[in-house]
Amino acid sequence: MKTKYEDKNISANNFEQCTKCTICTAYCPVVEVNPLYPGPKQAGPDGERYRLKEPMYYDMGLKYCLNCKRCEVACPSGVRIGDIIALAKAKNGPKIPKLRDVVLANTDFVGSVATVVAPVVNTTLRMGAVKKVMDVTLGVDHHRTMPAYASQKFTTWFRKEAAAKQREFERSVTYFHGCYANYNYPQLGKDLVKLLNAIGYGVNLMEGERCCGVAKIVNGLMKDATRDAKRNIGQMRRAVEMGDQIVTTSSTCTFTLRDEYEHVLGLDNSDVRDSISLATRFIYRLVESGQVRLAFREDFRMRAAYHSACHIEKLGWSIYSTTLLKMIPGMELIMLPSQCCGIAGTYGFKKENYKYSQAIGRPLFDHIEKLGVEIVTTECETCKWQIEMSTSAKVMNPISILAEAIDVEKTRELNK
Amino acid sequence: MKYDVIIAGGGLAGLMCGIALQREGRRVAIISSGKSALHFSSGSLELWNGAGGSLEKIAEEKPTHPYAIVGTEHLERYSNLTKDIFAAAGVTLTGDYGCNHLRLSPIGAMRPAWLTVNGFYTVTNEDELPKGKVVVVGIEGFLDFYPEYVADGLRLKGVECEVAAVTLPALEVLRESATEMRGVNISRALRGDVVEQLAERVNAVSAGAELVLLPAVFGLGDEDALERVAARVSCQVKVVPTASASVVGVKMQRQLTEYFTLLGGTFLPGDKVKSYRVEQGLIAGVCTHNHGDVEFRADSFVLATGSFFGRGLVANPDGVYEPIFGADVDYDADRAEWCSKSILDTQPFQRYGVKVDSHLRVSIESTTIDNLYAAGAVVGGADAVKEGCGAGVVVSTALMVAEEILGRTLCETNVK
Repeated sequence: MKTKYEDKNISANNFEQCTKCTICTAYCPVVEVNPLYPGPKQAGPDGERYRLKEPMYYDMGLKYCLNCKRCEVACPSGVRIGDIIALAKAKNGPKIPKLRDVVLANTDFVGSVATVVAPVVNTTLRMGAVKKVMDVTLGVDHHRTMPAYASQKFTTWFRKEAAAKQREFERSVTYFHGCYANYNYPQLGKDLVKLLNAIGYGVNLMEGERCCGVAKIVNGLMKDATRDAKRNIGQMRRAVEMGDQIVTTSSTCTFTLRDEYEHVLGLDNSDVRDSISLATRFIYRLVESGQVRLAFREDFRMRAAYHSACHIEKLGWSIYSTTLLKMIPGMELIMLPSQCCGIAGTYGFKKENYKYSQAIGRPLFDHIEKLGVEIVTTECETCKWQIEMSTSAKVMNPISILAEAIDVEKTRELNK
Repeated sequence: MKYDVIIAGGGLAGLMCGIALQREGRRVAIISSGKSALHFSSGSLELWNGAGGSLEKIAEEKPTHPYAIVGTEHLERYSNLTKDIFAAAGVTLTGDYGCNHLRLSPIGAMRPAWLTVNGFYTVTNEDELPKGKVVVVGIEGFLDFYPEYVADGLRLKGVECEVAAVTLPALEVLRESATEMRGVNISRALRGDVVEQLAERVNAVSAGAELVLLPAVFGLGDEDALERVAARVSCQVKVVPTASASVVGVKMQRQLTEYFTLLGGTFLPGDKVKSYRVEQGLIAGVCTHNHGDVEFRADSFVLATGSFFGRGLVANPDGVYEPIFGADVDYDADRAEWCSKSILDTQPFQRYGVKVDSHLRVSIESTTIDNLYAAGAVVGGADAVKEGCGAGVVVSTALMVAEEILGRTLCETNVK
């Protein structure tokens, strides 16, 4: 009964399915703090009707959308409101991006330059005077500390220290490390290698992995994003043909590779999409099906609060990480209410957004402080920066916690 | 992923059924595609307005009506259980089975209701309507509340009624986004001193009044905002429902979901069932859009996907169908019979829904599936609008399904 009509009657991003119920607006974290933002219903399907007639109806207020997709999670009618807004920004927004946005968006280029001279860059970016200059000239808010760069990239470490050993394993996966693990926090990649090796999986890297492209997408650099995405899809295809699953540690990279490539960039990733998985989902499935057993250190103790990042919420995948974390005997895991922390990647770094970014996150920060937890755990690196800047908690990726808690020797024995 | 029960649908039916089962120690997962019709809540639950005949005779007169299947002798118990579950979730409902009270609709009509959230204006009967002056106080620029409608409705009943509008600097800010001056935004702004300022403005426009009626926009900023306004205003203060998104509905959805999660339930937002697997005539597992080939297995499954708004039912030129399981649906084969010409007439499509047996089990291609139940508005046979039975059908079928799955009766005393 269905195929005859419904499959042939789908408007772009389901925008005609909007019933104007305004439920999305009730769940938009930006509307809550910034009356200059027209809200997801108005910015999305409502505005789209006008923009289709005449692009001059484009509302500059759309720049305040932080691409969290919580409107899509809330929509009862399956309208991809966030995608409509992202595409409208790309099509009708300012054509020449600001220098600042180009710098913020090119996480891989900036990262590969910065890691070479990391100590200099890190010190410089922390200097008050430099922050002021960046604030005035570039529009990067001076309250922010730019994320520190590592002096050795993850990929360099991997080639030198880990690559050879990976061939000893019969089974393997390909790791899409993303910019954060490569340039800012290689320890996360190292933790994943430790964990996967312990359960009997070797790790491969893609050849010439590019940034997933999310920062370019949200900053309007669609051409560059498409170029990187095509390269990544090709490389992922090769990995899948070799029989590898592709695992990730960043929720936003995962979401971009799986969904934004198709929905926003219009690329066909259907043959690789189902093989892309957050590492916790990959490991959970092995554990659930009995193919892998985990042994944890008896002396491990931790009290942590789980923060459901916006793109994890959209993926619906928090259950994998939280279920694994709850398997650790010494772990007390508290669930934070699901809400946006306000950073949304490069969004919160921009001077014009700083105030709203902090206002959006305020209830979450207060909740964390009230709980008095030392550790917050989340799969998103920019949430990590935001929460660490705005609370006294330290933020760890679930993979890093698992890597710390796991008893490598015992786990190896169990999985021989 | 293995659970005892999997419920498709996270609205009132899915949550009531899930909470009742989780309180009895069953492990339940709710798969919820977008927010529910709770966001249109008037703050009242209706049981039966009498227009559809006598409730006692329903088994003879309308044998396929959900109440005939549930059995009217159980409604009082379900009524008490509903109040009990709502109270445990933090929502106080007043009213009793067997005696409707009257509540005020957003356009000023008095409607019979069964249970109503505290704070809303209700009377036992029309003799109780105020003898003195009533002032209906709106908020300037608020798009979803029309004081004149409410006042006109009351004047028709002989009540002396005035209207007024107030504003405050904190609310004026919201008007910058003129299209988004909505209840939820106003409610969030009503926190701290703003609450007392509002009370003062209300006092200034309601001299000599016996009763002040305000739009139901309280409780998302400061939880106790309405109580504080009521304490400061010199006469009685009550609220009247607004158009969607309803603040009381947003709160109910949040509180019931939080309670379900607190009981250990798994709530999967923004996801929907994509396929199911049958094993020996029973549903063995379902797969969802977000989780791909990770199957969710359970002993029992509940279809609580709602009616047309919730997409539990879909209509196309060929007929009406249930999109998840392709369950058998009761509807008129002749499409001309679906609607009446006047919008105010009884609309036959209101009664359409899935066919159920005496245990609320669903059939697929005329074969009853022993572990697949239906609850809520997806069940056919009731006209929620004409009979005033929407919420009553939802909660009674949801609680009956919970009892069918448990194999025994729920009672208030054995639950916390």
